[in-house]
Amino acid sequence: MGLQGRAAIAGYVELKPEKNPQGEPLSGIQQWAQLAQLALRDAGIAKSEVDGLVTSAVPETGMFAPATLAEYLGIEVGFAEHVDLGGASAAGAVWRAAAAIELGIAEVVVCAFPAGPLPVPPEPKPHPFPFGASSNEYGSPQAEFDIPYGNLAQNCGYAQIANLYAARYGYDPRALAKIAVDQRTSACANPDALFYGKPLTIDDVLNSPLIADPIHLLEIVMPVAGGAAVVVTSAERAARARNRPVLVRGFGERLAFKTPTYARDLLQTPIASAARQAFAMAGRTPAQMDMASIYDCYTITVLMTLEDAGFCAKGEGARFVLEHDLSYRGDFPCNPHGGQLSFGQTGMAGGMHHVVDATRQIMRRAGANQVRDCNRAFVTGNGGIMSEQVVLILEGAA
Amino acid sequence: MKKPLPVPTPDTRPFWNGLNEGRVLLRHCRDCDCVFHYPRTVCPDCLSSDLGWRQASGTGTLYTYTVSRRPTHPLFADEVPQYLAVVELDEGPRLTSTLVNVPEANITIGMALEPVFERHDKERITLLRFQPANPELRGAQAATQSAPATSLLTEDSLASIGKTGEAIRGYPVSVEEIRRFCFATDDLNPRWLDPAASPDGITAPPAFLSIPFDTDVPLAELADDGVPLAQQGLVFPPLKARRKLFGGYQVEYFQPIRPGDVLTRQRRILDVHERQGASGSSVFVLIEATYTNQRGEKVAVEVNTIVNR
Ligand SMILES: [Zn+2]
Repeated sequence: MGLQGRAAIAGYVELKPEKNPQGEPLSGIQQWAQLAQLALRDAGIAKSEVDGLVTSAVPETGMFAPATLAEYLGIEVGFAEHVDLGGASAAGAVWRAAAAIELGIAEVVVCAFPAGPLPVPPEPKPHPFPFGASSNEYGSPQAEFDIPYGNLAQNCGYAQIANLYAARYGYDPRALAKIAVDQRTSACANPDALFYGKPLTIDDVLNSPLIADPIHLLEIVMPVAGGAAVVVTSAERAARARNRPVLVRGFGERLAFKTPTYARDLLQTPIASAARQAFAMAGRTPAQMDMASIYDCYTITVLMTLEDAGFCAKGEGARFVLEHDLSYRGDFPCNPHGGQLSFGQTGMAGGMHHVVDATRQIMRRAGANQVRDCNRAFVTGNGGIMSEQVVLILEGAA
Repeated sequence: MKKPLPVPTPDTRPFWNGLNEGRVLLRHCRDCDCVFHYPRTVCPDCLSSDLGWRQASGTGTLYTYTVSRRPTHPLFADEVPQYLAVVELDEGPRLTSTLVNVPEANITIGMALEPVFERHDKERITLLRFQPANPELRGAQAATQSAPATSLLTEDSLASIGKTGEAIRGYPVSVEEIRRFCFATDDLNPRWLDPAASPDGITAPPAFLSIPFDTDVPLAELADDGVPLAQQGLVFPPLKARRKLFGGYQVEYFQPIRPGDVLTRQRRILDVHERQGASGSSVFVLIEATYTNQRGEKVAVEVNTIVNR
């Protein structure tokens, strides 16, 4: 069942995150084209070879996004996907591309996730999503049953999960804070990171304001502008490309709810089954991973991913974090480029950060942040409020 | 922008009407016997659409919560700190809510809760908030709740919401019938009576709308309340109430009615809800009728309110 490891990531691009973006803003379509161009150049693959694309929502085209992109780029594709899984979209895009390649319906698939500022139209329209990730449209369950109570935005959902975790398993705020601290150590070796040169201590985290109990300000990502893309192709084509092929060996995807209120058991996250499937498909175990690239919108997300993916037992996450060095030079490298917590969260490209980070390490292109002997990576994408999960197992070609 | 309030849809209206009356109603699946929330048109356990409503106790426990110290949205700035709760009802389903009448230090996961019905009278919406079931855990200004009175509504009466009757054809509209109606109602406007008064000829007065559907009903076919048993294809919701009162009538017209027209009427139970008053409980049944003519054009939509006590 599943992938045979016959598709690989051959190239990537990740723009430097910017808090105050400079320069002329590009439309979503233009940004997509720019990312595709850069990722293909990185792979050393010609645009004429592209026959597949995967995108998330494109701001200028609410419908027909793949066709609009194909037209704009001047490509004809046999595989076109619009993935709508929030922060899990990028990882979701990669396995879909790999599956299409293994099916033989595509050879070179571009997966791009722009996250730059958009140009302001001459006559600005009211914001189409005044309630962020919650839909206030007539007939939307969120509009009717959640938004009127102020239950919206991401912070409160994750905080509700963290409090429930605390009630069932106990909660060590220092362990949670250490996740942010170790990733900051990695970011301090990475000049591209938003928080480069700004070391952090556990006390700094715990002394930052509580935003939604028990989550502190410094346990939450900071949204910035950016963008990232990868080129997925067949293992044979990747072998003739510019970089060490990064094989997509396994994946898992699970989702069952939008709002945490309606999860069957909020502490049995979809990560568990997604990871189980991914490891089984790859024929690997958590212990065989050389690094983890875990979607880290909040520290609690990382803690629960470590447990549910099987790196430690349920309820043992805090001890695991305290017993290991999670930085790039540590015994359990997790988000060795700084993670979104310290690299910056580049909107929808934030999920791609984790794919790119693992790819960069396996390709041995991580510079000062290089993890030694890095061949296998565990990658997650997380959408909504721990409601949409994608796991990838990536492995460097021999 | 105003703080958002729920806008009920036809399938969720009984839930919100229930809250208006101090009752928490849950969808019940007759096929697999589960109860669920939020209301859906299919059962999330077995996908059946054979669904009714069950009155829940309204009490539950705190499944989880957070105290949000920054507004989750600028419109909620006045509620900070927001006590954002997920409540598990005793019957099982969970719902999104907030905690009220509780000092922060008294909030614990698993604590027993009881409902607080927060009425927004202008919008006719009640939000369901929760407070500690143990009065000792409440704050100083805790509200006192009166127990909901007994209901005239049954599961079957709620299940009838949205039911559509068969389309009924009226008898053809004639000049003579329009004349008789005008003289009977003392409406001698030449537009209804004189073909030369308007370039389009005679049209029927608006109130004529339902006349082509009036048929003789033998006494034996009337129910106790004087209403025909056969509601021209529409089954009236079963109620525990015995008396009917005319509660209002609203019509929107789209096309004139002319001699020679043959109208078709299709009726639908738009809403069934209950209101408590000083003299007891009343059930409001709203019946919507859509009239179309022989060309398929929509002529009018009327909503008839019948008060049952
Ligand atoms: Zn069922």
